[in-house]
Amino acid sequence: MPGMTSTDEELVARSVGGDTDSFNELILRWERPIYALAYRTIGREEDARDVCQETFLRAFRALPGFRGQAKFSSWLYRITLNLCRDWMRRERRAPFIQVPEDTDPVEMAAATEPSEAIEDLVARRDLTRIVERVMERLPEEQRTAIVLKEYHGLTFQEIADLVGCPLSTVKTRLYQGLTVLRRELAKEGASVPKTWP
Amino acid sequence: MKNHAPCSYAGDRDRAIVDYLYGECDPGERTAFESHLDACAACSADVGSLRGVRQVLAGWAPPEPMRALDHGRAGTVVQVNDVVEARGPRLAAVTSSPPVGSAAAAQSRAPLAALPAWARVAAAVLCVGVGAGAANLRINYSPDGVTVRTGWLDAPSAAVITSPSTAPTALASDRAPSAPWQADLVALEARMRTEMRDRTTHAPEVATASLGQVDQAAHDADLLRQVRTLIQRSEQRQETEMAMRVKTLMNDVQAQRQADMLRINRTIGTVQNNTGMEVLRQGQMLRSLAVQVSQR
Repeated sequence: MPGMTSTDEELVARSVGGDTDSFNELILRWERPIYALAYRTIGREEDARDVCQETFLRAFRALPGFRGQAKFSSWLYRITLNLCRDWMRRERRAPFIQVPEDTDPVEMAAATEPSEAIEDLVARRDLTRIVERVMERLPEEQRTAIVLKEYHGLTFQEIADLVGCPLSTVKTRLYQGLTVLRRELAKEGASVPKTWP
Repeated sequence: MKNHAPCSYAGDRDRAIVDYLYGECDPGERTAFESHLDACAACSADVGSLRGVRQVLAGWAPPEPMRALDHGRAGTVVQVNDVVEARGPRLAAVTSSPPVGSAAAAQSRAPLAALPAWARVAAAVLCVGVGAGAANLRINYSPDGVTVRTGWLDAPSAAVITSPSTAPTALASDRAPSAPWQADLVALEARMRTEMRDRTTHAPEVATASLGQVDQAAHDADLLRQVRTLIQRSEQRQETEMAMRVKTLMNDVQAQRQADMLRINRTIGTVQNNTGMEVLRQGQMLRSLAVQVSQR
């Protein structure tokens, strides 16, 4: 029906039936979150793009076997995290790299002229670098839990199902990860706002 | 009043904090924990600072992918199709979408760039013409010269560049014949008319040519600015890529150097051991020879 947005499950069903436009619709819907997850996990733009592409390829191949036991997005996230883990094992190095001081991935990737004040842009760029550095220092499981919770809005149970650990473990990882980030941000000199609970 | 003593929360404090931070606790638990926060300075500070950390994290956004999964004119995911084809004919049969290639994708993003230059100039002239019409601008080319008149000017005050044939008689007759400076004024007037006559002769072509040249110059300047921006971004990307590769190379060289040093140290150690044993053996031989000599 025109004007109504199809659900993921509906698009999956049509894709399994051979409707490639439906699968393209799924890609349009989920490519940005998948890319964001890959980038925040492995920290490399090019490799994150490769992981994103590979995720959808694998999803397309495995689509007939997707029975809807979990949400389509969770299924995609699992594929992405597995690919990221494989990437990290294959590379055998720290997932993040230090962005050279005189380059700015945020500014370089902007498709349009920056519309904010230069001071805000510089502050945001500095903060981006700091956050990337401190995220690098997190253990993989804590970083995964924080990325999935903070940037993808998954519930605790969804994260637990995705990574295959108990619910209490997810909460512990989140608390420990945030605590580590607080300490590392303080070392970096980043001002962490203190809010009243 | 907050208690600065160590926390006395009965349950799992860390998990309670996480539940409270992310708002995933039931109302009863939330109320109970808020009561605890009112009384416990440590937990209150902890929650406040962790909430601040979350605010900092919220400002971290990944860069826009330079070559995202490309999309064609109708929203078809081009790159997935391309990669599917590249992975083999079995996968290439998956999609039957029209061959939307990168050219079409680029064209969809830059319709103006696809227009020929004459079309862009015509568009610019059309815009100027519409603007002139809105301003009720009238430009008359006549044998007497070029007349430019706007809608908000009165006829007598319109800027008129006329041919010199109409004005001089009236001007000359208006002057006092006896002014001492009249001859100089007449000479100056004649010279100005000559120059104006020459200028009005070439005015129509110059006006038209300059209009097109201005538009073309503005367009060229804009194109140049865009090209410079693209080049700058490309250079920055190349610099980043180069820096990454250099860092990787340096890491590999460092690792190799360490491995080589280790191997060298081991080799030196082996040589030293062998040398020491040889020296020992030689010493033993000399001692035995000395004993034999002394016994004779």
